[in-house]
Amino acid sequence: MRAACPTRKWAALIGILACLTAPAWAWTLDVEETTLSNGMQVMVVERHHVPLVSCQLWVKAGSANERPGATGLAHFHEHLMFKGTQAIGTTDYAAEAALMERQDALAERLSAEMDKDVRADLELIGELREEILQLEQEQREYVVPSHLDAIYADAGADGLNAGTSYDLTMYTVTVPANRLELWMWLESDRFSSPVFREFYSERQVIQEERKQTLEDDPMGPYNELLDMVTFPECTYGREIIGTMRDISMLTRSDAYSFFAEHYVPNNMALVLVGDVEAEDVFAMAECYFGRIARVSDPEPNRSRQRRDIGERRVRLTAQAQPRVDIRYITDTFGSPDDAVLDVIGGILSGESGRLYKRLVIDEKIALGASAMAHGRMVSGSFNLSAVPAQRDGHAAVETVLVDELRRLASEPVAAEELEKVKKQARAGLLQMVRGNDMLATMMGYYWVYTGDWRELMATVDRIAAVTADDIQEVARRYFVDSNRTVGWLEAEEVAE
Amino acid sequence: MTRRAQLLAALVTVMLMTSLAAWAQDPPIAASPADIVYPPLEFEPPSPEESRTELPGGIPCFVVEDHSVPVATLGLSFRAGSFDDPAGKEGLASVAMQLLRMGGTQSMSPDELASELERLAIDVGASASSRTLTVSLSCLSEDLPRAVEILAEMIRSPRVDEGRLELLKAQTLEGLRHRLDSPNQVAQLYAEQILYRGHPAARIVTAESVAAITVDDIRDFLSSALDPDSLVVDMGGDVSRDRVAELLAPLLQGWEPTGFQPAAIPSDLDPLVPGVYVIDVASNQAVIIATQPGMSRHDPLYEPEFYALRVANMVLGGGFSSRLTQRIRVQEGLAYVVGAQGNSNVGYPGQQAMVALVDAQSAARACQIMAEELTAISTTPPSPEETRRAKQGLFGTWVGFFESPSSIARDYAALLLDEMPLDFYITWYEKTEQPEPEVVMEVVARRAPASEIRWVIAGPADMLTAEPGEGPSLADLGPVTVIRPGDPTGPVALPE
Repeated sequence: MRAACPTRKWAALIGILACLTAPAWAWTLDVEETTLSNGMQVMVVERHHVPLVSCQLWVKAGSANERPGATGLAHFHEHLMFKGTQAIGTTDYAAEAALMERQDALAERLSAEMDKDVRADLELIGELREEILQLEQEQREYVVPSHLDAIYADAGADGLNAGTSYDLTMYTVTVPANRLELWMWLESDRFSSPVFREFYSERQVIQEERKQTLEDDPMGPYNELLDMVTFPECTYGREIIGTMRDISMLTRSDAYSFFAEHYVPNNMALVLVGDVEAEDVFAMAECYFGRIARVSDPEPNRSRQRRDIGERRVRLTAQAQPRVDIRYITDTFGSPDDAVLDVIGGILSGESGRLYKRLVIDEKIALGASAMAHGRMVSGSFNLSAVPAQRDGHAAVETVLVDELRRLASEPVAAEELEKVKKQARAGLLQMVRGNDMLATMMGYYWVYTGDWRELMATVDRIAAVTADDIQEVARRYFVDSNRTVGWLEAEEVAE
Repeated sequence: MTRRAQLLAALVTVMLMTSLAAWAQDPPIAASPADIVYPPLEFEPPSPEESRTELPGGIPCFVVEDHSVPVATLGLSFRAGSFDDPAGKEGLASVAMQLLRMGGTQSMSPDELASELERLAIDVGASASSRTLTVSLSCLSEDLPRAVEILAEMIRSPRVDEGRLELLKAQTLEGLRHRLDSPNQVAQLYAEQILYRGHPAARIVTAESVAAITVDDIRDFLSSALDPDSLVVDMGGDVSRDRVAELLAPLLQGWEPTGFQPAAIPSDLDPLVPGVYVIDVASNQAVIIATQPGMSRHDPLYEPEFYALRVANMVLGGGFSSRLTQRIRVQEGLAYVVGAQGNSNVGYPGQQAMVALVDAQSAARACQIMAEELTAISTTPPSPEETRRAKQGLFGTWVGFFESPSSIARDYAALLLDEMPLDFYITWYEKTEQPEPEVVMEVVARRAPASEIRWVIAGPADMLTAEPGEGPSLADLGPVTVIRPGDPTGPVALPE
């Protein structure tokens, strides 16, 4: 027997229900939002054309929030959060807990041994690993495999997934509209008391993932090196998945500590887009998610990448398409310069953009070229890349890329170029918000980076306000030799 | 704060405290997901017939309106494709369509065309699949009339610029040089070659065939293959069905049929014999594609047998709780990516495949598990619970077909072009629900037996074929053939 979860009447009490629209456009985005009693944000867009709702949970924590030596923890959560709770995924949690305690004790010994590095006892390491996996095997007697996935499948849900980036982690699923309460139940359960079962075998899966997505990808080692050299002082210089050694040393206790610090309601937001009533969502969210206690805000990422620390260069040969990359350190996401850098990216990119026209069409020294601003939480970068047409054509391509940036600093851009980019920004946003999933993703993304979904619309307004003078000023500020990293990926000779 | 507001605030506080106190004693949430009572869900998908209209000249058109966002889409699909490439000129259809997109028109140079499209933020795509040529555009609805005018010029009077053709050839050649860079690409290419040996589906683009394509070839191809007699139009988003004929007049007026006859497609395959095909690539990982012929959409038994195979694929590798994922990824930690899938083609068999990306040393073990599980599901019916979950797990996927007006209009157009029943998507879930466990078993045993698998494994041959000290070997699966890829830009050589 269960008590009914109160619905609409609660909304009047606990929610600051607001229908808010963004200014300055003919088109508006109707978002209803509230803040739960524990500080969790909830945003809803009602769309009733199909009985589905895209449900996303966003956490303002990603790989950039990890401490040195424990890289990979944020991404590890993307896996662990699917392992269940004390209620989901188990037939006997007490029996499991006892086995997990023994696994963790062995894991501590394993980490200590591995820390000895060249003096480590390899035989002991092998034995400890084997013993841990053996205990996980014993634990399986009490585990309901992939129970969360099975419950969602039974409910007709689609797209159960998660994603990790530098500054965020997000969890997503699309559920039939009548299963909203099920989503509330399952997500509030796993985000309040997850059980990181099968931790050590999942660690092996992540090591396989790293090999597949980074080490065996022809571009992987190059990108890893380029990130490291671009951001030597900032946590953006590390790969999101973590280093192989750190992954192999992570313990369940490390994961729980990260969870306790970052997965707190005042650091999370819910975004729902689809066939729901906002009032019902708010009431249920307070009922289910409101039970998670508010704690102090997580420690922010205090690392920063200074500008102008001198030019750095990376050169690597691989069996991959040759590339030239140039990256400049810039400002954070949503900063006044960020919109100007977005416009610069638009002026340089595209088939009618300056880079393609000059490198590909006029001088015929490249097969493709693009540029884009990447603002993030604590530092940003402006990235240019091009594919040389000749295997030894890197130097010529690099010269033109740099020359085009100098031109931006010395000559005002034409009014038509500016207008083109402004229109593309508006059209691009409208294209993206058509689908429920993408709209939810955009809202969540802007919430993470700016604390307010309205910035999604305001960014287009800021882009609309950019002038030719702004572009020259920003180009002079950032596009200087001492502020850049240059990468050359040279292709191995292949038999033809 | 006014007195009235203070009173209200006090009242709200008291009520909230009362509610929270009650919640603390008797949580107003379900004790378990099983206790949640779900409201009924009703969904009536948009009928293809209701969205269908006829344009002048009898050209069929599907329009699905959605005025919530001021963006409109238009798609044109023609019955022609890469199967119509002349021998020795493989790649013609693809290059021709790309050149249609970027090669200019009689009144606009390629640069002028690119500038005009980007100035108006009109996104145009043109591509060739094996049997269909597609031109699509997406733009702000206010620009749709101008977008149609431009598209009409691109299709009715393409320029076929020689300089752009040379650029396209260079870009294509660079792509060919790198098509064997990763084991994943290698496995996919060889799986297709082995399965479709001698069939048009196995014809691939080579450096030689691209070099042979001339401006005249492209002009001839476009002027005949873009035949209004085979055209099906789709429109979606912020567009009015009543205005479609008027809107498309610049494109359709005076467009004479060309009498294009698409190439006949052999319905039978002649694949290499079942066995193990190791494609030797330098890598730490092995990509396994256990492939065999799938079903044709025109197979008389397509319904219900393809649906039975779909349920089998869900049980085998359709999600975290599927059998292969549980054994290979969760229990043994061998792989990050595991799955089973089947696709169908129009007029010839698709592929039925199991896939895993594993550490090379674990490849034989992963294959052993795949073979065991395929044998198990073809000899013992899946449990009623697995079968039910597999079906219900596809409910959200089905409703999701109808989420995007543009996509569903395009899907309906594709059905008509492929001579498939227009209610295909409407009845998709109903048919998915039908196969009983015994039928699933019987269809897998007949359509996808383990004995018919071609094990295509891209990875380091020396490691993959080494005699194992203990545990399974690839030789347990059948005769092992090692293939060493040659020039990536040339044809693929297979053993006899």
